[in-house]
Formats: sequence, structure tokens, C-alpha cells
Amino acid sequence: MSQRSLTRRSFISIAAAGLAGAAWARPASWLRPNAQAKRVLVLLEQGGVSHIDTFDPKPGAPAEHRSPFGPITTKIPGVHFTELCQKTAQVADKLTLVRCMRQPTPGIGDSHPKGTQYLLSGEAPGGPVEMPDIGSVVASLLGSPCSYLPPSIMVPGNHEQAAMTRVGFLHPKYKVFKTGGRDLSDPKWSVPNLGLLAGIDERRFRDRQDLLSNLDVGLAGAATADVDGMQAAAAQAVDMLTNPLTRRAFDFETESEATRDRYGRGHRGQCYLLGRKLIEADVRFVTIDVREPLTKDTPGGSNMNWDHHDFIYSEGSTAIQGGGPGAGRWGIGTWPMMGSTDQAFSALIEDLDQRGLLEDTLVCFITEFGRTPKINDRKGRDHWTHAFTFLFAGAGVPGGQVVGSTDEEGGYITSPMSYTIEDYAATVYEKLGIDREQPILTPENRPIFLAHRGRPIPELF
Amino acid sequence: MTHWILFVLLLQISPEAPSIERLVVHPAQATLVGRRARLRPVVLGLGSDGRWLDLTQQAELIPSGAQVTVTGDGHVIPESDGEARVVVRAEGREASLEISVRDQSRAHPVDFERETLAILTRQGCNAGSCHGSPNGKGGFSLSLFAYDPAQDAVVLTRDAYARRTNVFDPEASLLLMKPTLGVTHVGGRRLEPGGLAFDILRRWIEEGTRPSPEAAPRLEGLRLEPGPQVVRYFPHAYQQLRAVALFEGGLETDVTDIVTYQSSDPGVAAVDRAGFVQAVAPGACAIMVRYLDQLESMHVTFVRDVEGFTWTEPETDHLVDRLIGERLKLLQVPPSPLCDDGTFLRRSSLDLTGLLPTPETTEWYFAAPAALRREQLIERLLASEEHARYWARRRADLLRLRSDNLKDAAAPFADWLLDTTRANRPFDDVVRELLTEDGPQSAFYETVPTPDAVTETTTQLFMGSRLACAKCHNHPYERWTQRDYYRIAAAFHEGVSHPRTGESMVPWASESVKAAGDVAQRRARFADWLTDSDNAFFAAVEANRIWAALFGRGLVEPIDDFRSSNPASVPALLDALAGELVRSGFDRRHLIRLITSSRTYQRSSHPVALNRSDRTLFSHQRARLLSAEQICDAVSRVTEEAHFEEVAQKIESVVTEREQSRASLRARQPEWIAEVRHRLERQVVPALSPWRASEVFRDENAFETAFAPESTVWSAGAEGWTEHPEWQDGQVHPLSLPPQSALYLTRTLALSEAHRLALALGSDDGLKVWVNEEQVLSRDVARGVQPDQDRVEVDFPAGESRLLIAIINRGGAAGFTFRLEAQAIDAELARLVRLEPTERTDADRAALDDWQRSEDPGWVRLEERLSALEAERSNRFETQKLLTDASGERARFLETFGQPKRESPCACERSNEPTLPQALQLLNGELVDRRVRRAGEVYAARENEALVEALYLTAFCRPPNAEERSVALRFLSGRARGEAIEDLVWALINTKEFLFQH
Repeated sequence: MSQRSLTRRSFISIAAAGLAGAAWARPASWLRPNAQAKRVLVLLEQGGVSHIDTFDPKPGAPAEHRSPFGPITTKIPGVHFTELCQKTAQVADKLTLVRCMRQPTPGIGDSHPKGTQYLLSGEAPGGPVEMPDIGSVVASLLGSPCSYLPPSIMVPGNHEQAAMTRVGFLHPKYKVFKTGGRDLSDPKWSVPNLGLLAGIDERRFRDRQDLLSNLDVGLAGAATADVDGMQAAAAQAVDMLTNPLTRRAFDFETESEATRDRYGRGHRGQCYLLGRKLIEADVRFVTIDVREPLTKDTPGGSNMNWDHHDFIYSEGSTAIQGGGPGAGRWGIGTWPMMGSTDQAFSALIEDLDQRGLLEDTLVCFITEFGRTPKINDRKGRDHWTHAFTFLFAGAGVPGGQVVGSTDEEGGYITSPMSYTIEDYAATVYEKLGIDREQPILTPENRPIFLAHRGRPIPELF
Repeated sequence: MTHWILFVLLLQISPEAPSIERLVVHPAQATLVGRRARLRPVVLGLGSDGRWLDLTQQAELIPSGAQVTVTGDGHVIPESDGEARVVVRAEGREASLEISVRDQSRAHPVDFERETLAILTRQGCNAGSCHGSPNGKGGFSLSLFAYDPAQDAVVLTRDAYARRTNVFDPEASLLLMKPTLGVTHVGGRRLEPGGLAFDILRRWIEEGTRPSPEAAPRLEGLRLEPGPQVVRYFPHAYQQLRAVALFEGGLETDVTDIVTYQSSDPGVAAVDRAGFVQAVAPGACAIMVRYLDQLESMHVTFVRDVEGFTWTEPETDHLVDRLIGERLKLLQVPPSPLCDDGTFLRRSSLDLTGLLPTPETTEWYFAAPAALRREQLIERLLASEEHARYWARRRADLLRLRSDNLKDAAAPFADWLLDTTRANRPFDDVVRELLTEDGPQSAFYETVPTPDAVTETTTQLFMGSRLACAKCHNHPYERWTQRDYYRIAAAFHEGVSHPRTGESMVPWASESVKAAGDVAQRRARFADWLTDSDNAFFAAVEANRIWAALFGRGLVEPIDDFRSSNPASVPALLDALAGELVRSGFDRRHLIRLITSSRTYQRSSHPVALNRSDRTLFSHQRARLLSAEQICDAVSRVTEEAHFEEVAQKIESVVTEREQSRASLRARQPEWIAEVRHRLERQVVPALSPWRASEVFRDENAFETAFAPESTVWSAGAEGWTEHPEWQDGQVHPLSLPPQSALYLTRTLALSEAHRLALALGSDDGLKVWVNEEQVLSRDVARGVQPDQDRVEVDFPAGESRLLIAIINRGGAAGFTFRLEAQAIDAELARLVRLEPTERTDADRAALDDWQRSEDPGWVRLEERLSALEAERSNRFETQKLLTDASGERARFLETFGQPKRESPCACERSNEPTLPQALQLLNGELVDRRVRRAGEVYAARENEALVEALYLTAFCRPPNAEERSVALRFLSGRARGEAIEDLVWALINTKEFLFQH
């Protein structure tokens, strides 16, 4: 076949693909060469992590509003965390801290559902078009190198705000896949529908497949794109169900005891560890949205996110007699909160680094907003959208860097630069080499520019 | 040799070029006003084969006087005032064009809005992906498609240090430099120096960037030539268009070269900036032409003669078959033959009721005379409760009918919707009632509380218009303007003004703000306008929804996106169906009957050789994935049919038992009357302690979780609980509870002797009640609190009893209310028992019977059991529920298969595309697994041969063929029986024939 006819043929097939799904047609020049990130791992610590008590300590704040957790040194000379971040301090040389994050539209993102949607989609909710999650957009544009797992996965994705994930105007196949799981450290845990059901061993499953292939003949002549689509989905599902690699990706037994210990043996540690395993399996976009479960050891801890409106420094439950907005949580200094987080996050960075995955994996530690510099009359801290901290690592993000600064109390940004959720989203797209100058089209042909109000955070490149 | 082959090929393509018999030129006469006027004549020829073709390119234009000249590219331009004639010659034929020329001695400045902005739109400058995007591009921001001329003028003449337009050196203007790449332009080359567009922009700058004159005539419309419908045949599959702007006062201007063209389907036709349309492939589409705020489209059809095409369909006067047939004949696409009877049974049952047919229906159908069975089936299905429920449910999806937003208003609204569907009320009446009358349907306005929401929802639901675009700018693909949007909003709410101009909006369908009246009057006027039979949208949108429900695809698709740039695939049919709907008095069932009786509906889903690629002309049915609810129900039908036969038997036996109970109660009535009289003599008053409240317990599954108090309170009491002496019985007490949490309340109740008391409670949301360790009530609901939502009668012993209740909040507000029903014996009952038997009327006796039964625990239990069984029977299917009540694995299953959350009026909220999680659910999901196991149990007693027969009939409405029978029987006989049945049912569920409607 001559060079000429080859070109012509590929042209025809591109044109045909474009016609089949005009709304999904992409210009061929979508990707930029030399993208720094091949995958993204997002640690969505939901509820609003207090920046003052963790990565942006303020020892000079007035005593009545000061965090009881004092500053410690880190691997970055002259940069301090609070003592709740001992282990993370030891991997700080691999991180960039952005201490000048803010929400430009606090009226929109100042609630947990909307704030979470804001983080997931990278755009303030309530616009004329409901935006899909960043992960779904990435899945639709780049697909995933891992054929046996979905391109965008959330672990475990079963908390109240995980309902804020959106596939929007994209095809439902780009919807984030949620693993579920109340406690991943429970040896009985498995992904629903992903391991074969009890009573159906592999032999029986194959028997069923054989029978099905003998009986599934009725629509052969009337196949439509949807019939073929279902056939393809079923084939992929069978592959997922029987492929040893799938099981391996979710099997903690393949990890050494030392590794599992290093991440922390509870739910959070194992979720973070699963994040690493999925990244290792080459899943394009992984989001960890974890909170420790209620157990007999954590009475009152029925909803352990970071929304510390009451008794933020409690050594156990933060509940106030008679109820209050802080009910269900534990104090920030406890194991289920910063203890397990410090353990798991530092382990993750170390582990990714040792495996060489930090080279081309962008890791983002994010939260909806920070918490008030002043302690309220219930001994808690409320929502604060004017300044908070995100952490980044990998995929060309410089190590040992601090970007931006806040005032003596951690209330307002004092640095010349400040960045928004939209800038975060723009950063993720940019790292993946996605050209934001080209709009994606909704089925109504409305052009959508990704993170169009944001620009990539320059210090991360 | 080669030449010979070429010759044969040529012969096949055009056997003999037809001669041209007649020429027609558009326009036949015209007036050219002003020096810069231009005219682009379009020349058509009628061939000896009866087909028209475009001869504009090859026609020769010969002016007869000095008043006009003809340019090299076929435009007529004016020279001096007067009358002229242009002779048109082509293919040996002649026609002529009369022209009068005016205003040649006056200046003819460029009009900013009508020319400059039109050019910017035409060149793509203000498109959504360029400077028309919300933030513009490169600091240069124009209004989308020039909806805001005043703002654009400022941006072009003053912003950016006025460098965009340079009056002193026009060609140094950025507006001209950038798009001609005189300086770098990220958007690339957009303008040719010296071209018409360039010339207009340059002149406008040179003339001083003046705004449009105040008194310029208003644009009233656009006319496209050669006509609204154009059919052209390969190899002459092209057509030059001509666009004429119609201004106030009758002035017509040729705007062919400054309007914007767009093809609705670039796979069928391409159009260039000069308005030349060329076929890409055979088919039909619309060419949309935009000029200022006007939009018009021309429907073009391109036909390629298909070798071997013959038309063998019988002559028909069936509306649907005739119009579809005309279209298929024109495009030379043969239809598929009719489907077989079994397929028709399955298809129409799923379409009309959402369900696979019951074994009884299948038996009845095949027993009916073959010539009549399809018709009779449609009548039977249309008359069924299942049809009303399924179609009402589909509408409920779009009306945001949810218990979590409407609370207690949801169920009555759903009932109203079901009643109107069941009664087949005229659709215009139903919509008028929905929009204007007080009643359960008023809940509609609660689902759309803001002016924006009600505007966008109403127009999308009933006019198929996605007006949301016009909220912020004129609709890019439709005539809707921003003003229209806010005028419609003003029809629903008072005080609506235009966000850009601040102008107070005249409500839609009202004459003026003053005459608009109150909201009720505005809404009534809007509803009258909407449902008027002259409203082009109303009937067509509903007809299209009905069509789409029966074919899986609308004539207009997406079904609620009507716009001139998205034409119906068979426009004449949509018009005819809309007309039929109006003529029948908006009888929706009439339309369903009409469509399902057509050969078009009854065609096979197997394509034939020449219609395989057709997706839009309905030459054959197309296999489509069952909806979420349909799959769920089909799985239950095929796995649990036997179980529901059991339910029917149980109902029968409970009814018998109830009759016996009725008789024995009658016999015991004198004793009961004596007991009531005894009660009347001494009434018992209980002593109640104040309520005490526990701490709040949380869990993802709060209702199912048994928190500590359920076990501890009976022994340990309510030590450490918070006392609430302020909570008065009979009042509603709001509680502050987080989502998915439970609060326990307890109190004691002391009686001097054993006695039966009725507790009346209300809760937001779920409720559980115990008395002395025994649970007496459990309600897993989401609702707002109202007094007396639940009532339970309890036999209390003498002495102290403990009452425990749990309030479970699913989310949002929480609260409860409690009271003991009046212990005093009802005055009416007192009167009845005091009467002598002879003094009682029939009504008294019936009242006494009812009273006695209501006090009898045995009778009450029977009634409850019966209604539970009936609910199980009638409400067992997801397709039949107007309000979704799924939770747990069922909810996950339905969500995976695209059940909408009912948050939008858009039909697109439901997705029916196959996905990986769906395949996982089917192959390996809990719901399928549980039901398949059940099938293993309920079918265990069946004999193999009969079982295979029955399963095929239920799943596919056909018996198995010989090979399928032998495969299935071999499988069943070689394995452990229960597992083998499970595996067989599992395999049938996973076949495409099962999962798809075909």
C-alpha cells in the first residue's frame, strides 16, 4: 500500500469517527507533546482542613486564637508545619506547598456540597452548564492506558459529598467509578461487582459465559451501535472480572506488611495505599475521598470529616451536648484525623517516589477551604475561603518549595500571588498536556473552555 | 481497454444527460437601492427528467442597459438610476430579470449594526469559541453573535486605547491587521484583504466608525431562495442560495454575501461563506442562515440514484406510512418487512406499559385471530392501568416529581398526573390546569420556584425550546432573544426586568405591563397562548414525544430541542401528526393508536441491504437498550413470575378469610355493644411523663441501624437523657438533626387498668415506635412532619409502660409530633350503642359494623395484609411507580442504567447508553444475582422441557428454536438442578435479545 493511500484511509476513518459522534469529535491536535503528568492522584480531604493547625502554622497569633499545636521544622529550611505533620515534614523536600489558595466566589463554594463540586469540577457550580468532574473530562479526552480498569476512579466515594461528582454533558461512560467500602482495612472488603460474587467461582462463571455465548444469537442481524456497545462493555466487564491484574490492583495481600504498616493500618491508610496501587496500574485519574469509619474505638465519630465547627482540639468526639454543627467528628489532633492523614500522606509520597511514579504522577492534596483564624464560642473554627493551603508533588512540581504567604493569623493572603480553585484545575489540565485553548463542545455545540477563569500556577512548572 | 471501462462507468453514472427544458431565475425582478447594493441571482433549470438543477455557476448574465453591470463572479451591481433588464442564458435556454436602480447619486455609508456586526458574525469573530466567549480572547471581548451592539461599539472604538479602529489610517486598525495576519493573530487568518468583508470593515472605519442611524428601518424577516425545500440529485448535488433581508416598509435587500451560513449536518451538506451548498453524502439537512437577530433555514435533500432500488410497498392511505413512504421513495431507501407477531407483542408491551407481557396476555394474544391480534393488543394495552402508570411515570421524570423536594405534596401531584393520564384528558386541558389552577398540580410551581426555572422548564417541556441560552445572550441557534426570555419570565412572576437594559418586561402574551394584571391572570394568558392550536410548537412537541416513545428516537432529535437548525427528519410527518393531535382534541391515545397501527411502527428491526445505514427515516425499527426501569422489571418478570402467582393466591385466601371474619364479627356484635356501653360508664385516663431525648446517632444507614437505646432503655431507663417538659402533645417540634442520623425519645405512661390506646404521630423523616420492648410501628419514609401521619393502636397493660420512639433524619429538616387520640368515646358511637336495635337505621347499622371492625385487631390485621399484598402486586414494578422508592441495591441498579434523578425538565437527563458498570451489574451484580437465585427456587418444581419453553416465552415472547432448546436442556440435565436453573436464567437475562427492545 502506498504512502498516499495510507494517508487517505486514515483520513476517512477519522472523518467517519467524527460523524458517528459529532459532539465528541476532537481536533487531532488536542494533546500537547511532552506533558509532564501521565496520571493524577487527588487526595480530597473533605470538610475544610484547618490550614492554621497543619501546613501554615501561626505561632504569633493571639493566644486565645492560637493553635495548641506548635511549629516544627521540616525538610525545607526555614519552613514550619505544626507538630501534627511530623511525618509529612520529613517528605516536605518533595512537595510544593501553595499557601495562597482562595475561593474567588466564596458565596458559591462556601458550603460543603457546592465546595466539593467546585473542587471536583474545577469550576464554581451554578453556571449555565453543569461542568463534569475534571477526572471525567480527562477520561474523555485522554482515555486511560489501563485497559482493565475505568479511567477515573474514586476511593471509596461513598460519603455524603461524594454525591457531588458529575459527568455533566459527557457520555456516561466517563462517569467516575466509585469503589465503595466503609473500611478498606477490613479483610472482607471488596469492590462490589468487581470480584466474583459469593457462590460463583471462576469455573461456574466460565460455564455461564459458555452457555451465554451459545444462546446469545437473537439480535445478530439487527445490531446497532448500542448493541455493539453493550457487547463491548460486557467483554470489558468479563475481562475486569477474570483478569488477575484487576484483582491484583485491589488486593492488599500483594503488599508487604511493612508497606501496609507504613501507610497506617486503618481505613485512611489503606485508601491512600489503594490510590498508589491504582496509579501503579496506570489508571489515569484517581481521587481519594476518605473518612475514618465509626468503630467501637471512636465513639461519636459517625461523620469524621474536617468540618471542625466545634471543639476542634477535642481529644475525642467534638460533639456538643444537645447537638451542634460539629457533631459526628473527632478533634483535629486525633488519630482518625491528622494522625492517620500525616501517616498515610507521607507514606504515599515516599512510596511513589521510591517506585519512580512521582516522575510522571501529579499528586494534589486539596480541601474545599480553610478554617477561621479565630476560635468561635464553641471552641471550633468555621469555614474560611480567604486563605488555605494545597499541597502538590510529582510530575515536575518542584520539591521543597513554598508558594505564597498569609498574615500573622493565617487570615488573609499577604503574598503578591494568590491562586484559586480554577487555577488548580488549570494546573491539572496543563500538567496533563491538555490544550485549554481548544473548547470542548456540549451536545448542543456550546463551546466550553476548560478552567477558563483559571491559569496554571506558574510555580508548579 | 481502459477507455472502454471508463466509458461503461460513465454510462452507469449518467446514462444520458437530460436536456434542460426551462430556466427560472430568482428573483424575477428586484430593486437595487444605494451605491453599494449587490444582487446575486440564482438560476435553476428544469430537466427533461422532471428534476430541477442549479445552473447559477454556468449561467451567463447579459445586462441590456448601462444602469447595471455584472461582475465576474455573477453579481449584478448598480451604475445609475433607472430600469434595466438582465438576460440569463444557460444550456441553450433563456430567462430574464427586471431591475430598477435607485439612490445612486447619494452617499451610502456602512451601517454598523446591519453590516459591520453582520460581517464580524459571518467571519466568526464573535463566536462562542472566539471573542464571543464569556471572557473574550486575548483581551478582546465581543457580545455573542452581536446581541449587544452598544457594548460592541464601545469595545471596537474606545477600548484597547482605541487601537482597534484607526479612523485616520483605517488599514492600520487592529480590527483589520489581526485577522489578515498583518500582526500575529492566535485565531489565524480570518479576513482576505480586498474582499467584500474587508472592504465593509475598512469603509466603516474610514467613515468614522459611526453607529447605525436611529431611524433605520427594523429588520422583520429573512427570505431564502430558491425556496424552503430543495431536492437535488447527484451528480448535480449542489445549490447556490440567495438571502433577502425584509425590512420594515417593504424594503428588500440582497444580503447573500454578509449573512452567516451553517449546515445542521456537515456529514450531509457543506455550505461556504458565499451561500453555496454542496452535498457531502446523500441525505437531508437544514442550512441555517443568520442575519442580525433573524434566523431562517432551508431544508435541502440530496439524492443519489441507487442501483437496484425498487419500491414494493403497497399503496396506502395511512398517514404515517404515506408520508414516511414518500420520503423513503425520494431518498431511495427501501423499508424492512414487518416483524413477526411475537416481536410485535414484546415491542408494543414494552412501549405502552414498560413491561414484558404476562403469560396470560401472551396466551390471549396468540389465541386471537391472526389478522386482528395486533390491533386488539394495542386496544388492550391502551386500556390497561399499566399503560397509564408507565406513561404518567415518564412525564413525572420531567416534572421533577420527587418526595424529597415536594414532601407531602409529591403523592397528590403524582395522583393528579396519573388520573389525567388514565382518563386520557385532552393534553391542552391538562397543561392549562397544570399552569393555572389551584390543586395538587400546583406543586409544579414548587419545583420551579424562580423566574428562571419556570421559564426554562415550561418552554422546554411544552415548546421543546432550550431557552436557557437566551438568559445571558440571544439564543445562538434560534430566534429567541434575551428579551423573549424575560418576557416569558414576566408571565409567571411580577417585577421582572431586563438584566442588561433594566427595562420592565411586558409579560409574554400580554399587551403591556399595565394591562398584564396579577400573576394568575398573566399565567392564564400565557397558558392560553401556549395551548392555542395555532401555537406551532405545542402540538408538534407533544406529537414528537409520543413518536420518540414508540421509536426510541424523535422526528426531531433531541426530542426537546426544537429549532430551525435542528429540523425534523421527515418534516411533513411531524406537521401531519401535530395536526392530527389538534384535530382529535389533543387525544394522545388517538395518536398512539395511529402510530402503532402503521406498517412503519410494525417493521422488523432487521435492516435490508439498502437501508442498513438509515438512522433517521424510520425504514426499519432499531434495537434499543431497555430503560433502567424496564430492565429491572423484565428481570423480575423472568425470575419471579411464579412468586407473583403465589401473591395472587394469597390475596384470594385473605379475601375468603375476611368474609369469615365479617360473619363472626356480626355474630359477636351484641357483646361488643355491651362492652362499649361498659366503657362509656368508666373512662380511663393515662398519666404521661415528659419526653426525654437521647444524643444523636449517625450512620450512613441510620434507619436500618439499631442504635444502643433500642436495647438499653428498657433496663437502664433514660438516665442522662435530656428532659423536654416544653414539648406539648399535639404540637410539632422541630429538631436539629444532621443527615442520616437518629434521635431517640422516651417517656412513661401509667394506667390504672389495662386499656387500648391509639397513638397518633408525625415525623420528618423516618419513624420507629416501641412499647414495652415491642416494636409497634416502623416507617422508612422521607417526608415533612404533619400531625397524625401515622396511627397505631396499642393494648397497654395496667401500671407503668415505657414508650420509645426514634426519629430518623435522611437529610434536611427534622421534627416530630405526638398525641394520644382522644380517649373519650366518640359521641356518635355513644349515640349508636345507646339506640335500641329496632331504632337503628340501615346507615346506623353499617356505621356500627365499621366501628366494630375498626376496633377488632384481627380484622385490622387482615385489612393490612390485604393492602400489603395488593401493593406488592400492583406496585412491584419500577415502570409502574410515579414516585421512585428504590434504595440500596435496587437504587444503585437503576442509577447505573441511567434512571434520571428528576432534577431537570430535559429528556436528556435519562441516559440509555451502554456502559461498563451496567455490564458489571448484569454479569455480576447483586440485584441480578439475588433474583436469579430466587428463580432457582421458584422454578425448581418445573419439568425441564416446560421450563425452557416458559422462560423463552416470558423473556422473548417466542418459543425456543430447536437448537436453543437442545442447548438449554443439555445444560439443565448435566448439572446440579438449582444451580443449573440459575445459570440458565442468568444467561437469558444477559442475552442482547433480552436487554434490547427490537
